[in-house]
Amino acid sequence: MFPVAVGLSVRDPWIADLVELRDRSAIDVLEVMIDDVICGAGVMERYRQLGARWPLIAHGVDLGIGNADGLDRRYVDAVAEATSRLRVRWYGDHLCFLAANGISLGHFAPVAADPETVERLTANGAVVAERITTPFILENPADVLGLGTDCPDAGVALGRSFGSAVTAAGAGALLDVTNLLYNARNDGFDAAAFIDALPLERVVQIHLAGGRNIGGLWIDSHDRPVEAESLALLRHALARTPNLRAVTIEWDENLPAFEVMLQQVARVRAVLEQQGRR
Amino acid sequence: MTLAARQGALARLLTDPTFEQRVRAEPEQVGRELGLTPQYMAWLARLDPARVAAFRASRQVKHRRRRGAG
Repeated sequence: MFPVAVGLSVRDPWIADLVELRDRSAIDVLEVMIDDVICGAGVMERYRQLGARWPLIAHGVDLGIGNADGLDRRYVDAVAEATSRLRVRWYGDHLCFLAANGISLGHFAPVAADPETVERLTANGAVVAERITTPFILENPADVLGLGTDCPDAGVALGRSFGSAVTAAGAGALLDVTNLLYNARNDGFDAAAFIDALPLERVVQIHLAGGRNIGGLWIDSHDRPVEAESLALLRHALARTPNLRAVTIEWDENLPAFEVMLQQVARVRAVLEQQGRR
Repeated sequence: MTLAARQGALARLLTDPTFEQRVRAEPEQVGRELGLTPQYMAWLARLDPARVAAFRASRQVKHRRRRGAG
């Protein structure tokens, strides 16, 4: 098994802290939002500064790999250019569709792994592979709609479905254990069974975050520390993912002080050390 | 029933409360108009309204974040 790097997903208010951080070894890797690089003036230069200090991973939210109408090739080309200039280790986005019939959702709508969807994922994945030279991985998104959960052994079925989709797209897997935990809580399936049903050799990265219960539904609000139950699922995954290379922590709302993120990283590192993955 | 038709109907339901009401009230009729199977329409009509609302709320948060990121 490979040693696993631990880091965080960069947010603007922490960039100055990162640039000035004396003990670079407190973090192993940084995840950068590729959509910020594409859209934001001056972001590339700031991220290149960070890239001089740490290995970078790119993460995006605008690909829509499951879109029946195909991918926006100008967007794909922009990702290709940005990932190449930043020399990121790999690029991840979400298994979802984002637009259909002229409606732009701007949020992850779920896809199944039925034959027509698999065919579309294969075609869209080929476009990504043709234009983006960086390795590509797909994340299991949060799904409040609960697609595919109305069957026995839904954890196994959903894990297999995600695995089929990732394989069809020619991608590695980004396992978001917090999304998985909240989907499992909302729909009453076995999160560990989902992990066990994955093509585990494809899992390259794991995401962690903290969310909250709003009106009886668990939402990946990314505004709290990582829960102990997410760390328990992380432990489960660590014992089964031989090609895992990085675990990163996401926080988007009510951003804490940078020191809090360093504490979160240290907490995850301790889990990896206990599991012999560092 | 094409993938594009399925995604189009779901996207519309998630963004258009009037269409959502119509799907819940007369799923077979909407299915005939859009070329969708009764099974798919039954799934759409069964979607928990609270979860559809949660999707819309998350969508708003994402849009707000994006505007903030500018």
